[in-house]
Amino acid sequence: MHNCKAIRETLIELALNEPDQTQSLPAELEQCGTCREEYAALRKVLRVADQAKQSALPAESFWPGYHTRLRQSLAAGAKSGVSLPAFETRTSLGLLLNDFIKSSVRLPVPVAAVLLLLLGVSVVFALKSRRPVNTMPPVVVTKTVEAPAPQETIRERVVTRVVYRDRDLRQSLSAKANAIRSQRNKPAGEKPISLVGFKPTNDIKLTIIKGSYHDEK
Amino acid sequence: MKVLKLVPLPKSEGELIRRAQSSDMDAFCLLAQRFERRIYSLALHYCQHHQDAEDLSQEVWLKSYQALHTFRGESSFYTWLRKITINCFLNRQRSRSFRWQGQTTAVQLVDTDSIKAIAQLVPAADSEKALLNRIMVERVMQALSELTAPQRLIFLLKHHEGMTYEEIAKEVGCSTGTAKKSVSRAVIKLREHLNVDVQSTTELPLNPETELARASRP
Repeated sequence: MHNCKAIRETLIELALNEPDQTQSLPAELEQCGTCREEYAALRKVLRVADQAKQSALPAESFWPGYHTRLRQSLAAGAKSGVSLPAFETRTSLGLLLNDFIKSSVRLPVPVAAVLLLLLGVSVVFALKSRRPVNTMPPVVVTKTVEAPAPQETIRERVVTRVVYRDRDLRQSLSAKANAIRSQRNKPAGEKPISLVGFKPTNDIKLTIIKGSYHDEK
Repeated sequence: MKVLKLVPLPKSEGELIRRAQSSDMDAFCLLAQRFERRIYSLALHYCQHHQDAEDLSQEVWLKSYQALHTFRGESSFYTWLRKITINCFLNRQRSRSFRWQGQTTAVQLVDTDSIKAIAQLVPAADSEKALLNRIMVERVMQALSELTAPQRLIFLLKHHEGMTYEEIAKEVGCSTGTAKKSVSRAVIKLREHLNVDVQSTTELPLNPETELARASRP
């Protein structure tokens, strides 16, 4: 569908390039009266600008004075030895660098979008696969901790083994109980029972083994 | 008796350039005369003031004279000269030492005195034409003054110099899109200010009656 505003840029371009009478104008322009009028106006505007260019120039009487002043400034410039302008002293390397900075590549939007997506994905993967780096600065601990000297812990182990051989356990126990009872029942004034001549029986053997845990190992 | 023999100056551009390169100021002045109107016109449309245009164009000639030894003949002399002109314009714009007329104050080329002077000096028909020409120039200058300096330069390079957008972009240091937009904006401004009469079949695109009535208004 024809849009007068949309083709205004085209009209300006057409008016600037001024196609010959033989060249046919775009069909859109032929059909739309408003655009045709606009095109004619633009061409006239540019023609006015052209005429103004000629009319703006000073009269012929101006130029002899201009030449004199030019000659004077050239002579003064030659005497003072004014340095060359910046654009002339620029090196080719500078120009190349400038061109490189200003250069651009035209890419279709889908291609640019895909490239950006790939870049983003690769960055994400790179971040994920990276080893966790301790970014915290190493903490220097000046505190000295006195470690306790390793001490050997001796674990005592008492193993009691009662070996009953020939004698009956009951007899021995009752004998013992009787002895204790008789001892308790004795009056305080009596002499304590002397253990002189007491002889442990051969039947019970009590062995106490003392030693460290390490020794046992 | 010592007889001074005058050496006639050559007419060909190549010979003039060669002699100017060997510090012949007369040869350079002859070269300058060939292109001075074009350079002056560019400068005038760019800075919109006759005194500034003269200063700027003189600066162009001085710099081109100093840099003439770098001209190798790879392009035409005018192309080389135009490059220097563009650089001068851009440098002047950057240094801001310019006596700008401002974005809102336009050049007043038409005043009551000038109308009277024209009327006294020339016949009625010619004076009318001269006045219309002045009005036209004023309008064009007004329209251009509402553009930024780079936009104005780009328009001048396109319309006055006939350069392509690619050439302009390279010389001015902008993209082709920016160059196109600048030209488009300039044409729209001119369209607004000139208010051309499309139906008019006169030589001048402006309507003389309307314009003269407007100009003579106090």
